[in-house]
Amino acid sequence: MIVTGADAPFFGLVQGTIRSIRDKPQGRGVALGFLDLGCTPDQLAWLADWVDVIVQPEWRFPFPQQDQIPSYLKGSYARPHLPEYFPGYQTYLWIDADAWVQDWSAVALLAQGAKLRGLAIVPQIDRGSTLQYGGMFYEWQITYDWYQADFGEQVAQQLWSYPMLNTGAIALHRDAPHWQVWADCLQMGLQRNASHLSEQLALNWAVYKHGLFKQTEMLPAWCNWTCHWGFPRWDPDRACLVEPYLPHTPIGIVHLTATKYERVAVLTLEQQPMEVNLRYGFV
Amino acid sequence: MSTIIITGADASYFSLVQGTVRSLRSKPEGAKATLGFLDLGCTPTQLAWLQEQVDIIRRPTWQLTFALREQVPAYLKGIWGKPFLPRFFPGYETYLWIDADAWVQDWRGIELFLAGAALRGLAIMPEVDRGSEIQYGGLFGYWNLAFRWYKAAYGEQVAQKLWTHPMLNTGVFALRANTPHWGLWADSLAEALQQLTDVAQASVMTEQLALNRAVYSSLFDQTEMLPGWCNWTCHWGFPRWDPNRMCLVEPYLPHTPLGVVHLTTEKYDQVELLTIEGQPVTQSLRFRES
Repeated sequence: MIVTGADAPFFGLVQGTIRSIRDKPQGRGVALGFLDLGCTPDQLAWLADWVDVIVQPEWRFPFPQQDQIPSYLKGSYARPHLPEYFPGYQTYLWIDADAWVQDWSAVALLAQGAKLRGLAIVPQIDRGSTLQYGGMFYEWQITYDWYQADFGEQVAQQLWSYPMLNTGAIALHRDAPHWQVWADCLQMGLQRNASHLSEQLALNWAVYKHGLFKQTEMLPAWCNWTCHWGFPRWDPDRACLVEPYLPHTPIGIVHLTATKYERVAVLTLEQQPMEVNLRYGFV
Repeated sequence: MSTIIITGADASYFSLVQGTVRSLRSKPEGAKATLGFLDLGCTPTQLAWLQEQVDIIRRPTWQLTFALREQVPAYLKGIWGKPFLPRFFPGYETYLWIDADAWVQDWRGIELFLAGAALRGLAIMPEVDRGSEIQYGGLFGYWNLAFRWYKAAYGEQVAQKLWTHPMLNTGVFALRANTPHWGLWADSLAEALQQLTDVAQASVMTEQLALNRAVYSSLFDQTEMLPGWCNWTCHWGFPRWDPNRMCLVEPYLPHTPLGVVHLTTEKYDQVELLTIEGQPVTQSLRFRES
Protein backbone atom coordinates (compact mmCIF):
# COMPACT_ATOMS: atom_id res chain seq x y z
CA MET A 1 0.00 0.00 0.00
CA ILE A 2 1.13 3.53 -0.79
CA VAL A 3 0.11 6.13 1.77
CA THR A 4 0.20 9.90 1.70
CA GLY A 5 -1.65 12.63 3.54
CA ALA A 6 -2.36 16.34 3.64
CA ASP A 7 -4.45 19.12 5.07
CA ALA A 8 -6.35 21.73 3.03
CA PRO A 9 -3.37 24.03 2.26
CA PHE A 10 -1.34 21.08 0.89
CA PHE A 11 -4.22 19.74 -1.18
CA GLY A 12 -2.92 21.13 -4.48
CA LEU A 13 0.41 19.43 -3.86
CA VAL A 14 -1.04 16.10 -2.78
CA GLN A 15 -3.24 16.02 -5.87
CA GLY A 16 0.01 15.93 -7.81
CA THR A 17 1.33 13.12 -5.60
CA ILE A 18 -1.78 11.02 -6.19
CA ARG A 19 -2.12 11.77 -9.90
CA SER A 20 1.57 10.99 -10.42
CA ILE A 21 0.90 7.53 -9.00
CA ARG A 22 -2.45 6.84 -10.64
CA ASP A 23 -1.27 8.06 -14.07
CA LYS A 24 1.41 5.33 -14.20
CA PRO A 25 0.37 1.88 -15.41
CA GLN A 26 1.88 0.34 -12.26
CA GLY A 27 0.02 2.79 -10.03
CA ARG A 28 -3.47 2.35 -11.41
CA GLY A 29 -4.19 -0.77 -9.41
CA VAL A 30 -2.08 -0.08 -6.35
CA ALA A 31 -3.84 0.37 -3.00
CA LEU A 32 -3.69 4.03 -1.99
CA GLY A 33 -4.23 5.20 1.56
CA PHE A 34 -4.74 8.80 2.63
CA LEU A 35 -4.30 10.47 6.00
CA ASP A 36 -6.82 13.30 6.18
CA LEU A 37 -5.16 16.01 8.21
CA GLY A 38 -7.86 18.60 7.67
CA CYS A 39 -9.16 18.60 4.13
CA THR A 40 -12.37 20.33 3.10
CA PRO A 41 -15.50 18.34 2.10
CA ASP A 42 -14.86 19.19 -1.57
CA GLN A 43 -11.30 17.99 -1.32
CA LEU A 44 -12.41 14.78 0.39
CA ALA A 45 -14.94 14.21 -2.38
CA TRP A 46 -12.13 14.42 -4.96
CA LEU A 47 -9.97 12.11 -2.86
CA ALA A 48 -12.75 9.53 -2.60
CA ASP A 49 -12.49 9.02 -6.35
CA TRP A 50 -8.73 8.60 -6.35
CA VAL A 51 -7.71 6.71 -3.19
CA ASP A 52 -8.91 3.51 -1.60
CA VAL A 53 -8.91 4.30 2.10
CA ILE A 54 -9.13 7.64 3.94
CA VAL A 55 -8.29 7.77 7.63
CA GLN A 56 -8.21 10.62 10.13
CA PRO A 57 -5.27 10.01 12.46
CA GLU A 58 -5.34 10.93 16.12
CA TRP A 59 -2.63 11.59 18.66
CA ARG A 60 -1.41 8.19 19.78
CA PHE A 61 -0.24 9.19 23.25
CA PRO A 62 -0.12 12.35 25.38
CA PHE A 63 2.86 14.70 25.21
CA PRO A 64 3.43 18.17 26.66
CA GLN A 65 3.06 20.27 23.47
CA GLN A 66 0.08 18.35 22.15
CA ASP A 67 -2.31 21.30 22.26
CA GLN A 68 0.17 23.87 20.98
CA ILE A 69 1.37 22.34 17.72
CA PRO A 70 -0.45 22.24 14.36
CA SER A 71 -2.90 19.37 14.03
CA TYR A 72 -1.39 18.34 10.68
CA LEU A 73 1.51 16.90 12.69
CA LYS A 74 -0.88 14.09 13.59
CA GLY A 75 -0.07 12.77 10.13
CA SER A 76 3.65 13.07 10.61
CA TYR A 77 3.56 11.37 14.00
CA ALA A 78 1.21 8.69 12.68
CA ARG A 79 3.81 7.24 10.33
CA PRO A 80 5.22 4.66 12.78
CA HIS A 81 1.64 3.41 13.13
CA LEU A 82 0.63 3.04 9.47
CA PRO A 83 -0.10 -0.73 9.76
CA GLU A 84 -2.59 0.07 12.52
CA TYR A 85 -4.36 2.70 10.41
CA PHE A 86 -4.25 0.60 7.24
CA PRO A 87 -4.12 -3.04 8.35
CA GLY A 88 -3.58 -6.02 6.10
CA TYR A 89 -0.81 -5.01 3.72
CA GLN A 90 2.64 -6.55 3.34
CA THR A 91 4.58 -3.38 2.56
CA TYR A 92 3.80 0.24 3.37
CA LEU A 93 5.27 2.95 1.19
CA TRP A 94 4.88 6.45 2.55
CA ILE A 95 5.26 9.48 0.27
CA ASP A 96 4.98 13.09 1.47
CA ALA A 97 2.39 15.42 -0.07
CA ASP A 98 5.20 17.60 -1.43
CA ALA A 99 6.70 14.69 -3.37
CA TRP A 100 5.57 13.01 -6.58
CA VAL A 101 6.52 9.99 -8.62
CA GLN A 102 8.20 10.77 -11.91
CA ASP A 103 9.65 7.31 -12.61
CA TRP A 104 8.22 4.13 -11.14
CA SER A 105 11.67 2.57 -10.78
CA ALA A 106 12.02 4.43 -7.46
CA VAL A 107 8.80 2.92 -6.12
CA ALA A 108 9.99 -0.50 -7.29
CA LEU A 109 13.37 -0.03 -5.58
CA LEU A 110 11.78 1.16 -2.34
CA ALA A 111 9.51 -1.90 -2.31
CA GLN A 112 12.41 -4.21 -3.16
CA GLY A 113 14.56 -2.72 -0.42
CA ALA A 114 11.82 -3.15 2.16
CA LYS A 115 11.37 -6.77 1.14
CA LEU A 116 15.13 -7.37 1.32
CA ARG A 117 15.94 -5.71 4.63
CA GLY A 118 12.81 -4.34 6.29
CA LEU A 119 13.23 -0.61 5.70
CA ALA A 120 14.23 1.17 2.47
CA ILE A 121 15.09 4.85 2.74
CA VAL A 122 17.32 7.50 1.19
CA PRO A 123 20.21 8.93 3.25
CA GLN A 124 20.95 12.54 2.33
CA ILE A 125 24.35 11.78 0.81
CA ASP A 126 24.86 12.58 -2.83
CA ARG A 127 27.46 14.02 -5.14
CA GLY A 128 24.69 16.14 -6.68
CA SER A 129 23.86 17.83 -3.38
CA THR A 130 25.19 21.39 -3.16
CA LEU A 131 25.43 20.92 0.59
CA GLN A 132 28.33 18.50 0.17
CA TYR A 133 30.61 21.17 -1.20
CA GLY A 134 31.27 23.35 1.81
CA GLY A 135 27.94 23.38 3.67
CA MET A 136 28.11 20.15 5.62
CA PHE A 137 29.64 21.38 8.86
CA TYR A 138 27.04 24.11 9.20
CA GLU A 139 24.27 21.59 8.50
CA TRP A 140 25.71 19.26 11.13
CA GLN A 141 25.55 22.03 13.72
CA ILE A 142 21.88 22.55 12.96
CA THR A 143 21.34 18.81 13.10
CA TYR A 144 23.03 18.74 16.49
CA ASP A 145 20.51 21.29 17.80
CA TRP A 146 17.59 19.26 16.45
CA TYR A 147 18.74 16.04 18.13
CA GLN A 148 19.55 17.88 21.33
CA ALA A 149 16.04 19.38 21.48
CA ASP A 150 14.33 16.01 21.00
CA PHE A 151 16.67 13.52 22.64
CA GLY A 152 19.28 15.41 24.65
CA GLU A 153 22.98 16.10 24.45
CA GLN A 154 24.21 12.51 24.43
CA VAL A 155 22.17 11.48 21.39
CA ALA A 156 23.09 14.73 19.62
CA GLN A 157 26.78 13.96 20.13
CA GLN A 158 26.28 10.48 18.72
CA LEU A 159 24.25 11.39 15.66
CA TRP A 160 25.05 14.91 14.49
CA SER A 161 27.40 13.73 11.74
CA TYR A 162 25.28 10.85 10.46
CA PRO A 163 23.53 11.34 7.11
CA MET A 164 19.92 12.28 7.67
CA LEU A 165 17.57 9.52 6.56
CA ASN A 166 14.75 11.33 4.80
CA THR A 167 11.36 10.00 5.83
CA GLY A 168 9.57 11.79 2.99
CA ALA A 169 9.61 8.61 0.91
CA ILE A 170 10.14 5.29 2.66
CA ALA A 171 9.04 1.68 2.39
CA LEU A 172 8.69 -0.58 5.39
CA HIS A 173 7.78 -4.24 5.48
CA ARG A 174 4.88 -5.14 7.73
CA ASP A 175 7.06 -7.46 9.85
CA ALA A 176 10.02 -5.11 10.19
CA PRO A 177 11.12 -4.37 13.75
CA HIS A 178 11.47 -0.70 12.83
CA TRP A 179 7.83 0.17 13.48
CA GLN A 180 7.89 -0.42 17.20
CA VAL A 181 11.37 1.01 17.79
CA TRP A 182 10.46 4.09 15.74
CA ALA A 183 7.24 4.56 17.72
CA ASP A 184 9.10 4.19 21.02
CA CYS A 185 11.79 6.68 19.97
CA LEU A 186 9.16 9.16 18.80
CA GLN A 187 7.23 8.85 22.02
CA MET A 188 10.42 9.52 24.01
CA GLY A 189 11.34 12.50 21.83
CA LEU A 190 7.92 14.10 22.03
CA GLN A 191 8.12 14.23 25.79
CA ARG A 192 10.97 16.77 25.36
CA ASN A 193 10.08 18.55 22.11
CA ALA A 194 7.59 18.35 19.26
CA SER A 195 8.56 19.67 15.83
CA HIS A 196 7.94 18.93 12.17
CA LEU A 197 11.16 16.87 12.22
CA SER A 198 10.48 14.82 15.33
CA GLU A 199 9.37 11.66 13.54
CA GLN A 200 12.35 11.85 11.13
CA LEU A 201 14.83 12.29 13.97
CA ALA A 202 13.15 9.42 15.81
CA LEU A 203 13.59 7.06 12.85
CA ASN A 204 17.22 8.12 12.44
CA TRP A 205 17.88 7.40 16.11
CA ALA A 206 16.07 4.06 15.79
CA VAL A 207 18.08 2.97 12.74
CA TYR A 208 21.51 4.23 13.79
CA LYS A 209 21.52 3.46 17.49
CA HIS A 210 18.94 0.75 18.11
CA GLY A 211 20.44 -2.08 16.09
CA LEU A 212 18.52 -1.53 12.85
CA PHE A 213 21.31 -0.36 10.54
CA LYS A 214 21.80 -3.74 8.90
CA GLN A 215 18.07 -4.07 8.42
CA THR A 216 17.95 -0.84 6.45
CA GLU A 217 18.52 -0.51 2.72
CA MET A 218 20.16 2.79 1.84
CA LEU A 219 18.81 3.83 -1.55
CA PRO A 220 20.30 6.27 -4.05
CA ALA A 221 19.27 9.90 -4.03
CA TRP A 222 17.28 9.63 -7.25
CA CYS A 223 14.73 7.57 -5.28
CA ASN A 224 13.86 10.67 -3.23
CA TRP A 225 15.43 13.77 -4.73
CA THR A 226 15.42 16.55 -2.14
CA CYS A 227 15.27 19.70 -4.26
CA HIS A 228 16.43 22.08 -1.55
CA TRP A 229 19.93 20.59 -1.81
CA GLY A 230 20.14 21.12 -5.54
CA PHE A 231 17.95 21.11 -8.61
CA PRO A 232 17.95 18.18 -10.99
CA ARG A 233 18.69 18.70 -14.68
CA TRP A 234 16.28 18.40 -17.58
CA ASP A 235 16.75 15.81 -20.28
CA PRO A 236 14.95 17.17 -23.35
CA ASP A 237 15.16 13.85 -25.20
CA ARG A 238 13.56 11.81 -22.46
CA ALA A 239 11.48 14.82 -21.31
CA CYS A 240 12.20 14.21 -17.65
CA LEU A 241 14.13 15.48 -14.66
CA VAL A 242 17.42 13.66 -14.14
CA GLU A 243 20.39 13.63 -11.74
CA PRO A 244 22.66 16.64 -12.32
CA TYR A 245 25.68 14.43 -13.02
CA LEU A 246 26.29 11.43 -15.25
CA PRO A 247 24.81 8.91 -15.84
CA HIS A 248 21.84 11.28 -15.46
CA THR A 249 19.53 8.66 -14.00
CA PRO A 250 15.91 9.85 -14.17
CA ILE A 251 14.68 11.11 -10.82
CA GLY A 252 12.25 8.56 -9.39
CA ILE A 253 10.58 10.72 -6.75
CA VAL A 254 10.80 14.51 -6.92
CA HIS A 255 10.59 15.92 -3.39
CA LEU A 256 9.89 19.63 -2.97
CA THR A 257 11.63 19.81 0.38
CA ALA A 258 11.58 23.26 2.01
CA THR A 259 10.46 25.63 -0.78
CA LYS A 260 7.46 24.41 -2.78
CA TYR A 261 8.85 25.39 -6.14
CA GLU A 262 6.77 25.48 -9.26
CA ARG A 263 8.42 26.84 -12.41
CA VAL A 264 12.18 27.15 -12.00
CA ALA A 265 15.19 27.59 -14.25
CA VAL A 266 17.27 24.42 -14.44
CA LEU A 267 20.02 23.31 -16.79
CA THR A 268 19.60 20.78 -19.55
CA LEU A 269 22.12 17.97 -20.06
CA GLU A 270 23.88 20.26 -22.49
CA GLN A 271 24.03 22.93 -19.78
CA GLN A 272 21.48 25.18 -21.45
CA PRO A 273 19.13 27.10 -19.11
CA MET A 274 15.51 26.02 -19.34
CA GLU A 275 12.38 26.77 -17.34
CA VAL A 276 10.59 23.65 -16.12
CA ASN A 277 7.85 22.79 -13.66
CA LEU A 278 9.17 20.95 -10.58
CA ARG A 279 5.61 19.97 -9.69
CA TYR A 280 3.67 17.14 -11.24
CA GLY A 281 2.28 18.63 -14.41
CA PHE A 282 -1.11 17.06 -14.81
CA VAL A 283 -2.89 20.34 -15.46
CA MET B 1 38.44 11.32 -30.30
CA SER B 2 41.87 9.97 -29.38
CA THR B 3 42.19 8.65 -25.87
CA ILE B 4 45.09 7.17 -24.00
CA ILE B 5 44.70 5.13 -20.83
CA ILE B 6 47.73 5.39 -18.57
CA THR B 7 48.92 3.58 -15.50
CA GLY B 8 52.31 3.15 -13.86
CA ALA B 9 54.20 1.17 -11.24
CA ASP B 10 57.56 0.27 -9.80
CA ALA B 11 58.80 -3.29 -9.29
CA SER B 12 57.00 -3.72 -5.98
CA TYR B 13 53.61 -2.89 -7.55
CA PHE B 14 54.19 -4.95 -10.67
CA SER B 15 51.85 -7.81 -9.83
CA LEU B 16 49.08 -5.33 -9.05
CA VAL B 17 49.61 -3.37 -12.25
CA GLN B 18 49.57 -6.61 -14.22
CA GLY B 19 45.98 -6.92 -13.04
CA THR B 20 45.26 -3.35 -14.11
CA VAL B 21 46.67 -3.92 -17.59
CA ARG B 22 45.10 -7.36 -18.03
CA SER B 23 41.73 -6.09 -16.85
CA LEU B 24 41.89 -3.44 -19.57
CA ARG B 25 43.14 -5.73 -22.32
CA SER B 26 40.62 -8.48 -21.51
CA LYS B 27 37.70 -6.21 -22.43
CA PRO B 28 36.80 -5.83 -26.13
CA GLU B 29 37.02 -2.04 -25.82
CA GLY B 30 40.34 -2.25 -23.98
CA ALA B 31 41.93 -4.70 -26.39
CA LYS B 32 42.22 -1.95 -28.96
CA ALA B 33 42.75 1.00 -26.59
CA THR B 34 46.03 2.89 -26.53
CA LEU B 35 47.77 2.09 -23.26
CA GLY B 36 50.58 4.15 -21.76
CA PHE B 37 52.79 3.10 -18.87
CA LEU B 38 54.91 5.16 -16.50
CA ASP B 39 57.91 3.07 -15.55
CA LEU B 40 58.70 4.01 -11.96
CA GLY B 41 61.38 1.36 -11.49
CA CYS B 42 60.41 -1.96 -13.04
CA THR B 43 62.90 -4.78 -13.65
CA PRO B 44 63.99 -5.70 -17.20
CA THR B 45 61.83 -8.84 -17.04
CA GLN B 46 58.82 -6.83 -15.97
CA LEU B 47 59.43 -4.30 -18.74
CA ALA B 48 59.62 -7.12 -21.26
CA TRP B 49 56.14 -8.26 -20.20
CA LEU B 50 54.85 -4.69 -20.35
CA GLN B 51 56.20 -4.17 -23.86
CA GLU B 52 53.93 -6.96 -25.01
CA GLN B 53 50.90 -5.40 -23.33
CA VAL B 54 51.10 -1.63 -23.61
CA ASP B 55 51.72 0.78 -26.47
CA ILE B 56 54.04 3.34 -24.93
CA ILE B 57 56.37 3.15 -21.95
CA ARG B 58 57.81 6.34 -20.50
CA ARG B 59 60.21 6.86 -17.65
CA PRO B 60 59.03 10.08 -16.01
CA THR B 61 61.41 12.81 -14.98
CA TRP B 62 60.81 15.44 -12.35
CA GLN B 63 58.72 18.26 -13.78
CA LEU B 64 58.91 20.48 -10.73
CA THR B 65 61.78 21.88 -8.70
CA PHE B 66 61.64 21.56 -4.94
CA ALA B 67 64.18 21.25 -2.13
CA LEU B 68 63.74 17.56 -1.30
CA ARG B 69 63.56 16.36 -4.90
CA GLU B 70 66.55 14.03 -4.70
CA GLN B 71 65.52 12.57 -1.36
CA VAL B 72 61.89 11.54 -1.88
CA PRO B 73 61.07 8.04 -3.21
CA ALA B 74 61.55 7.71 -6.97
CA TYR B 75 58.04 6.34 -7.53
CA LEU B 76 56.70 9.79 -6.65
CA LYS B 77 57.99 10.95 -10.05
CA GLY B 78 55.02 9.04 -11.41
CA ILE B 79 52.43 9.95 -8.80
CA TRP B 80 53.41 13.59 -8.83
CA GLY B 81 53.74 13.36 -12.59
CA LYS B 82 49.96 13.02 -13.09
CA PRO B 83 49.44 16.75 -13.83
CA PHE B 84 52.03 16.39 -16.61
CA LEU B 85 50.67 13.38 -18.48
CA PRO B 86 50.29 15.33 -21.77
CA ARG B 87 54.02 16.07 -21.60
CA PHE B 88 54.91 12.40 -21.16
CA PHE B 89 52.37 11.22 -23.73
CA PRO B 90 51.74 14.11 -26.12
CA GLY B 91 49.15 14.16 -28.84
CA TYR B 92 45.99 12.76 -27.27
CA GLU B 93 42.69 14.50 -26.74
CA THR B 94 41.75 12.71 -23.52
CA TYR B 95 43.91 11.18 -20.81
CA LEU B 96 42.48 8.52 -18.52
CA TRP B 97 44.65 7.64 -15.54
CA ILE B 98 44.17 4.48 -13.50
CA ASP B 99 46.30 3.63 -10.44
CA ALA B 100 48.21 0.35 -10.31
CA ASP B 101 46.08 -0.81 -7.38
CA ALA B 102 42.89 -0.43 -9.40
CA TRP B 103 41.41 -2.60 -12.15
CA VAL B 104 38.53 -2.45 -14.56
CA GLN B 105 35.69 -4.84 -13.89
CA ASP B 106 33.01 -3.27 -16.07
CA TRP B 107 33.79 -1.02 -19.02
CA ARG B 108 30.77 1.17 -18.23
CA GLY B 109 32.93 2.82 -15.59
CA ILE B 110 35.52 3.79 -18.21
CA GLU B 111 32.79 4.96 -20.57
CA LEU B 112 31.38 7.25 -17.92
CA PHE B 113 34.81 8.75 -17.17
CA LEU B 114 35.31 9.47 -20.86
CA ALA B 115 31.80 10.87 -21.28
CA GLY B 116 32.33 13.12 -18.27
CA ALA B 117 35.63 14.43 -19.61
CA ALA B 118 34.03 15.11 -22.99
CA LEU B 119 31.19 16.98 -21.29
CA ARG B 120 33.04 19.11 -18.76
CA GLY B 121 36.80 18.61 -19.00
CA LEU B 122 37.51 16.54 -15.89
CA ALA B 123 35.61 13.45 -14.73
CA ILE B 124 36.39 12.18 -11.26
CA MET B 125 34.76 10.43 -8.32
CA PRO B 126 34.14 12.39 -5.09
CA GLU B 127 34.28 10.16 -2.01
CA VAL B 128 30.60 10.58 -1.16
CA ASP B 129 28.63 7.38 -1.23
CA ARG B 130 25.86 5.77 0.80
CA GLY B 131 27.90 2.54 0.68
CA SER B 132 30.89 4.14 2.39
CA GLU B 133 31.20 3.13 6.03
CA ILE B 134 32.90 6.38 6.98
CA GLN B 135 29.70 8.28 6.28
CA TYR B 136 28.06 6.65 9.29
CA GLY B 137 29.88 8.23 12.20
CA GLY B 138 33.47 8.40 10.94
CA LEU B 139 33.40 11.46 8.73
CA PHE B 140 34.29 14.07 11.34
CA GLY B 141 37.48 12.19 12.24
CA TYR B 142 38.43 11.99 8.57
CA TRP B 143 37.73 15.69 8.09
CA ASN B 144 40.14 16.48 10.91
CA LEU B 145 42.78 14.40 9.16
CA ALA B 146 42.07 16.21 5.89
CA PHE B 147 42.39 19.52 7.73
CA ARG B 148 45.91 18.58 8.84
CA TRP B 149 46.85 17.50 5.30
CA TYR B 150 45.59 20.73 3.74
CA LYS B 151 47.16 22.84 6.47
CA ALA B 152 50.58 21.22 5.94
CA ALA B 153 50.35 21.75 2.18
CA TYR B 154 48.59 25.11 1.89
CA GLY B 155 48.19 26.68 5.30
CA GLU B 156 45.33 27.21 7.69
CA GLN B 157 43.12 29.36 5.45
CA VAL B 158 42.91 26.79 2.66
CA ALA B 159 42.44 23.99 5.20
CA GLN B 160 39.48 25.82 6.74
CA LYS B 161 37.89 26.18 3.32
CA LEU B 162 38.40 22.63 2.10
CA TRP B 163 38.42 20.28 5.07
CA THR B 164 34.76 19.29 4.71
CA HIS B 165 34.69 19.00 0.92
CA PRO B 166 34.46 15.45 -0.41
CA MET B 167 37.88 14.17 -1.44
CA LEU B 168 38.15 13.84 -5.22
CA ASN B 169 39.98 10.57 -5.71
CA THR B 170 42.77 10.88 -8.26
CA GLY B 171 43.26 7.12 -8.48
CA VAL B 172 41.09 7.16 -11.58
CA PHE B 173 40.21 10.23 -13.61
CA ALA B 174 39.73 11.34 -17.18
CA LEU B 175 40.91 14.78 -18.28
CA ARG B 176 40.76 16.40 -21.70
CA ALA B 177 43.98 17.87 -23.07
CA ASN B 178 42.72 21.37 -23.69
CA THR B 179 41.48 22.17 -20.18
CA PRO B 180 42.73 24.59 -17.53
CA HIS B 181 42.88 21.78 -14.97
CA TRP B 182 46.36 20.64 -15.96
CA GLY B 183 48.07 23.98 -15.38
CA LEU B 184 46.19 24.82 -12.19
CA TRP B 185 46.82 21.33 -10.82
CA ALA B 186 50.53 21.63 -11.56
CA ASP B 187 50.67 25.08 -9.93
CA SER B 188 48.87 23.80 -6.89
CA LEU B 189 51.19 20.80 -6.65
CA ALA B 190 54.25 23.03 -7.01
CA GLU B 191 53.01 25.20 -4.16
CA ALA B 192 52.56 22.18 -1.89
CA LEU B 193 55.97 20.79 -2.72
CA GLN B 194 57.61 24.07 -1.68
CA GLN B 195 56.21 23.45 1.81
CA LEU B 196 57.91 20.07 2.09
CA THR B 197 60.53 20.25 4.82
CA ASP B 198 60.76 16.59 5.73
CA VAL B 199 60.90 13.50 3.49
CA ALA B 200 58.42 11.85 5.85
CA GLN B 201 55.81 14.40 4.69
CA ALA B 202 56.18 13.31 1.06
CA SER B 203 52.96 11.48 0.31
CA VAL B 204 50.94 9.99 -2.49
CA MET B 205 48.18 12.27 -1.17
CA THR B 206 50.02 15.44 -2.17
CA GLU B 207 48.95 15.43 -5.81
CA GLN B 208 45.40 14.49 -4.81
CA LEU B 209 45.16 17.42 -2.43
CA ALA B 210 46.55 19.63 -5.19
CA LEU B 211 43.82 18.64 -7.64
CA ASN B 212 41.16 19.04 -4.97
CA ARG B 213 42.41 22.53 -4.25
CA ALA B 214 42.42 23.43 -7.95
CA VAL B 215 38.91 22.09 -8.60
CA TYR B 216 37.27 23.56 -5.52
CA SER B 217 38.99 26.92 -6.05
CA SER B 218 37.98 27.59 -9.64
CA LEU B 219 37.16 24.48 -11.68
CA PHE B 220 34.05 23.12 -10.02
CA ASP B 221 31.73 23.78 -12.94
CA GLN B 222 34.19 22.15 -15.30
CA THR B 223 34.26 18.93 -13.31
CA GLU B 224 31.88 15.98 -13.66
CA MET B 225 31.30 14.23 -10.35
CA LEU B 226 30.87 10.52 -11.00
CA PRO B 227 29.17 7.90 -8.81
CA GLY B 228 31.06 5.69 -6.37
CA TRP B 229 30.76 2.58 -8.53
CA CYS B 230 33.01 4.20 -11.17
CA ASN B 231 35.98 4.06 -8.76
CA TRP B 232 35.10 1.92 -5.77
CA THR B 233 37.50 2.71 -2.92
CA CYS B 234 37.56 -0.52 -0.95
CA HIS B 235 38.98 0.97 2.25
CA TRP B 236 35.67 2.76 2.86
CA GLY B 237 33.65 -0.44 2.52
CA PHE B 238 33.62 -3.72 0.64
CA PRO B 239 31.33 -4.28 -2.30
CA ARG B 240 28.92 -7.20 -2.42
CA TRP B 241 29.11 -10.23 -4.69
CA ASP B 242 26.41 -10.99 -7.21
CA PRO B 243 26.57 -14.76 -7.85
CA ASN B 244 24.29 -14.54 -10.87
CA ARG B 245 26.23 -11.88 -12.72
CA MET B 246 29.52 -13.14 -11.18
CA CYS B 247 30.72 -9.65 -10.34
CA LEU B 248 31.35 -7.21 -7.54
CA VAL B 249 28.48 -4.79 -7.06
CA GLU B 250 27.52 -1.81 -4.90
CA PRO B 251 26.53 -2.95 -1.38
CA TYR B 252 23.06 -1.41 -1.70
CA LEU B 253 20.32 -1.57 -4.31
CA PRO B 254 20.25 -1.33 -7.27
CA HIS B 255 23.58 -3.22 -6.90
CA THR B 256 25.21 -1.57 -9.90
CA PRO B 257 28.29 -3.55 -10.99
CA LEU B 258 31.50 -1.78 -10.01
CA GLY B 259 33.28 -0.18 -12.96
CA VAL B 260 36.73 0.14 -11.40
CA VAL B 261 37.72 -1.74 -8.23
CA HIS B 262 40.29 0.32 -6.34
CA LEU B 263 42.35 -1.36 -3.61
CA THR B 264 42.90 1.83 -1.70
CA THR B 265 45.11 1.41 1.39
CA GLU B 266 45.07 -2.39 1.96
CA LYS B 267 45.95 -4.46 -1.10
CA TYR B 268 43.40 -7.15 -0.37
CA ASP B 269 43.19 -10.42 -2.23
CA GLN B 270 40.79 -13.02 -0.83
CA VAL B 271 38.27 -11.45 1.52
CA GLU B 272 34.98 -12.31 3.17
CA LEU B 273 32.17 -10.53 1.38
CA LEU B 274 28.40 -10.76 1.43
CA THR B 275 26.34 -11.77 -1.56
CA ILE B 276 23.42 -9.58 -2.59
CA GLU B 277 21.23 -11.99 -0.59
CA GLY B 278 23.37 -11.35 2.49
CA GLN B 279 25.17 -14.69 2.47
CA PRO B 280 28.92 -14.81 3.33
CA VAL B 281 31.25 -15.69 0.46
CA THR B 282 35.02 -15.67 -0.02
CA GLN B 283 36.05 -13.71 -3.08
CA SER B 284 39.15 -12.02 -4.44
CA LEU B 285 39.11 -8.27 -4.77
CA ARG B 286 41.89 -8.51 -7.37
CA PHE B 287 41.51 -9.00 -11.09
CA ARG B 288 41.05 -12.62 -12.13
CA GLU B 289 40.93 -13.75 -15.76
CA SER B 290 37.52 -15.28 -16.42
